[in-house]
Amino acid sequence: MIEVLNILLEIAKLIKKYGLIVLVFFLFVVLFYIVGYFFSILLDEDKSDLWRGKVYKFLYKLTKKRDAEKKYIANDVAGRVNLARKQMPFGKESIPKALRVEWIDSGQVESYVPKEGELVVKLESAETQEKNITSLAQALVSRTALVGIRYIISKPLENAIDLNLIKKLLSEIKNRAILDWYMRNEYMPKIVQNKNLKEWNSKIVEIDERGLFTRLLLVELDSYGKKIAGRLKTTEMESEIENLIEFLYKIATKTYGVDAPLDYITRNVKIGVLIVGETSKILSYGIEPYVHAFIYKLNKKIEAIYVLSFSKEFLGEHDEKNSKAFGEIQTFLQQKIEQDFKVERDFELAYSCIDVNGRERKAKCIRYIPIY
Amino acid sequence: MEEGRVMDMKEVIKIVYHKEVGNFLESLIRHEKLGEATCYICGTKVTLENFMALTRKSGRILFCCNKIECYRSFNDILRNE
Repeated sequence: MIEVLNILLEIAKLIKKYGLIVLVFFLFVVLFYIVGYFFSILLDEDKSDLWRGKVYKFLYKLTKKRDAEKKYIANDVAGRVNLARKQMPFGKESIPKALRVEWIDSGQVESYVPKEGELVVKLESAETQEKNITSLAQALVSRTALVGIRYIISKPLENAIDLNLIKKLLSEIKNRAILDWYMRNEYMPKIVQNKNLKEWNSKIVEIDERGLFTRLLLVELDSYGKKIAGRLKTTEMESEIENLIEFLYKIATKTYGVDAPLDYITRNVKIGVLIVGETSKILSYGIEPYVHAFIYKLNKKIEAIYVLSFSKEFLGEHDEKNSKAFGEIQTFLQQKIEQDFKVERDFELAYSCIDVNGRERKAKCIRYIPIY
Repeated sequence: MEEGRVMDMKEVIKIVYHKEVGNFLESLIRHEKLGEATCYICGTKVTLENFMALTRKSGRILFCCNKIECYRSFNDILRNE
């Protein structure tokens, strides 16, 4: 606020010194930014939906007309859910799919016959928009996430993944009322119902808190679904997925100085994880131990290698003084991997997460696909 | 072309306004020659008040009541595998 006032004061001084030409120039710059902003909204379908929703909400509040209410509901739901979806960190592909909502027109209501596979959902009034958003987010996740593996995994595990994916989607909307409604009415009642679900949920939550739910687990499950497409379910497949979650859970709950398995190799899953997080190790020994570990994974013909970097000391006490050097060595390691090995960098995602001690950490997740 | 591309990428969900559900259900039940609508998950009679969703699967219209558990299970059976 003070900065804005300072800028305005500077502009006032310039106007006083150079006359109205400065004011005209200033207004031109402001106009340019406003036009640019609205142009960016027009180009983004989801932002346009959200803005149309705001306009129709205003019209609805003013006129109480049903048509305005319906347009507000539809535009607002689609805009919020789709923008939230874009904010969710995944690899190259976003999960779930984008949403398009279409009203059954008032004039067609008495003659509308649903087509094969079409889902028709009742939406409530605009006053309970959080319920409307939650209903559609739930339908979207159920229909378009975990495609290809739902028939393999147990119901409690499937529910735990769905519940947390919906929670993440709704939390990205950044509206407390919507998330609160979901947690109170759907998430919590569901979790307490079933012991197995509760156990799987606690593991998924831990994995999510380290930032590995959407960036690693869902990416691998999506990849798994593609790999086993069209194959009959076997107990081996169910175990592979459950053990993948156990594998990630051990990494997610790993405490400082305690080892956890960092490779997971089965018939259909071959992934390795490299954790770059112990400041003392990287500052004392440099990148060599990590390069060796990377070579070891390549020798095991691992199909995806995740390099997880955590700022300061992951899962332990941190050392502010060395954090800059630590960051530089992390970058050097990344350059070394990409120069020396035949790997494709599939994606790189920077994020913040909470460690096991509840501290916020800056982190980075890079997925490499080795080329053998 | 653009419209088609967008349609391919998005999951389309039809929505019906709560005040229009009565007419919609009545006409659909009449059209499909159904005696009454029952929840595909729990078997409860679906009325104007407790209707939540419906779909057509293998030619049959399936209804879902507004119990949270039923809606969740209903979405489960509809997913695109």
